[in-house]
Amino acid sequence: MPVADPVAFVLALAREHREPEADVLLARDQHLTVKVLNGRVENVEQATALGLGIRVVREGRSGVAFTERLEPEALERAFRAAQENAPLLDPTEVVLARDLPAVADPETLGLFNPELEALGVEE
Amino acid sequence: MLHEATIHKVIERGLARGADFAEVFVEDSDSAAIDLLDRKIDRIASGNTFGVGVRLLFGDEVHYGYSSDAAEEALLELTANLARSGRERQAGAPAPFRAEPVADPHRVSIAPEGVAKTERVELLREVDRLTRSHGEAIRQVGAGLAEKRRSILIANSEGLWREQSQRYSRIRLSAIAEQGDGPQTGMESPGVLGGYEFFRELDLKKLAAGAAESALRMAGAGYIAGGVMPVVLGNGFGGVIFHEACGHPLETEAIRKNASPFVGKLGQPVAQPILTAIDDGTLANRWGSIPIDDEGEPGRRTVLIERGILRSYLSDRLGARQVGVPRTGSARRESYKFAPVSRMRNTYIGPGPNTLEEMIASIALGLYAKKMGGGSVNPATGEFNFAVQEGYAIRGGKLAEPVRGATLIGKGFEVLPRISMIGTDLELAAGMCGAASGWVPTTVGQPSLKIDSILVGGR
Repeated sequence: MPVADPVAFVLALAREHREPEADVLLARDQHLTVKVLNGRVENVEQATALGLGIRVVREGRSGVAFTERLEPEALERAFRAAQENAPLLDPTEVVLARDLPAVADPETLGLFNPELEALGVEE
Repeated sequence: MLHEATIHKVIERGLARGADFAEVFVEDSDSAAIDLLDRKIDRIASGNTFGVGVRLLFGDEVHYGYSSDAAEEALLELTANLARSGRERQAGAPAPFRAEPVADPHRVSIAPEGVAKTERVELLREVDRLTRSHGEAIRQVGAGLAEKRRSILIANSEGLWREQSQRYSRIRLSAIAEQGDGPQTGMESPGVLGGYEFFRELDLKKLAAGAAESALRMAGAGYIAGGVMPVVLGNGFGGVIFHEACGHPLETEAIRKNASPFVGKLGQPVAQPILTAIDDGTLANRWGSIPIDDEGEPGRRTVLIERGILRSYLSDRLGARQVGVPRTGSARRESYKFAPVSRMRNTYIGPGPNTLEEMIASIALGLYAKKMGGGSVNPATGEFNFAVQEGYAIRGGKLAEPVRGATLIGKGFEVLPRISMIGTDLELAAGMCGAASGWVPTTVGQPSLKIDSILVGGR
């Protein structure tokens, strides 16, 4: 059974293993594609994809792993893989710029029309 | 990977909503990659890909959906949604599943899980050291190991039930050399359908020399004057031109859309009798081999062109039905996120009677394209444009100076009949092929061969 809150689950693992830095990204993608060839519907594609990425950072070394299974065993396996990967990397030298410009509020950019959510497959 | 009862219900629901064919594809894959750049281990990533693809056919309409949520309710809802947009038809009943074993001749003698990641890291550092040992003109080295275990289950409304698990191993190496006039890159990227033994058996010195020496030779090269001329294409990766300019137009995915110069040409001459071209999914441990395709059909050997005569297309279920040809076990997809379509496997031009020396000796002024680089092709017309990664001028029947910046430009079906000499030195090379169903491992290959005339771009 997938865990209810996979992000909290992995972060709890990181605390339990005393990892100094860890972050988790949970992505959910849904899409619908309809292709028409010569006036006829040729292809309809509908999808839901879930994925969780884990990064463990130790002394400038970032170990990463991902999983599309969200059961406890799969999350633990991915976490262990990220832990195992980190010390094998050479440290990354990162120079951060000061006074980064503010990020625009996505709501104001008009990137998504919420009315599309109401459209059915038949339409 | 998924309960039989759940799969049966999904297929049943698809048929109940009017589909004339329903298929479930389950994938559970693990992948790992380690990259070295600028003497540093730059990236190590591990991952698990898991999900279910549901395909419903309503005549020639394909309704495809996928989900990484494999819960029964989620899959039944997905199937119902897919079927909702289909045409209503008389519902059929799914046939009972017949689990059939899949013959797997591909050797895996060292399971990757049993090998420490530190060994892989050391291997990459050794490749870096060996490549840089070819001289200070080697300014940069990039290398990477990629491994994958791909486990799939395919079941359909005709009762098919097949499962298989495969392992892939590949190494990529690029060397950049600079001697005055801009950087030049040499690349090697062998791979197998097999386990970790591939890396242990690999000749690292030879791999490093291949990339480094190619880059060094081109770094010191001048430019060729462009024009129409005879060209000798090198063996191995030179087959990428046939793959792109002839292989893709021979897939029923192109034929069924009437988007190929080979439409209606079965049984007709398309090349000189010296040329035979094959697409073979059965070659042991070859990168593009498939014990079964992604519709569950056994992978097989397909003769595309036999002594110059076009004999077969490469087909999947839908393409075979629409074009009216037999299925060739060529349906492939990158993952559960793609519906399968006809794709190549290990595609190559068979060996001929000539030596490379004979081909060179027959040319007064031309180009020897020893290694090919990247390019682009329009599959509908077969027009291609490929860069020559390592080239040499041919003057007076002899190899002359190295030349850089050459490109080969033409149309696949026009160039095929101009292949007049084919060598004995058949070699295959691993690559990744991108098309409608994603990126899949494929092999290209050929012996050295002579094209009587082709447009060469240069300076």
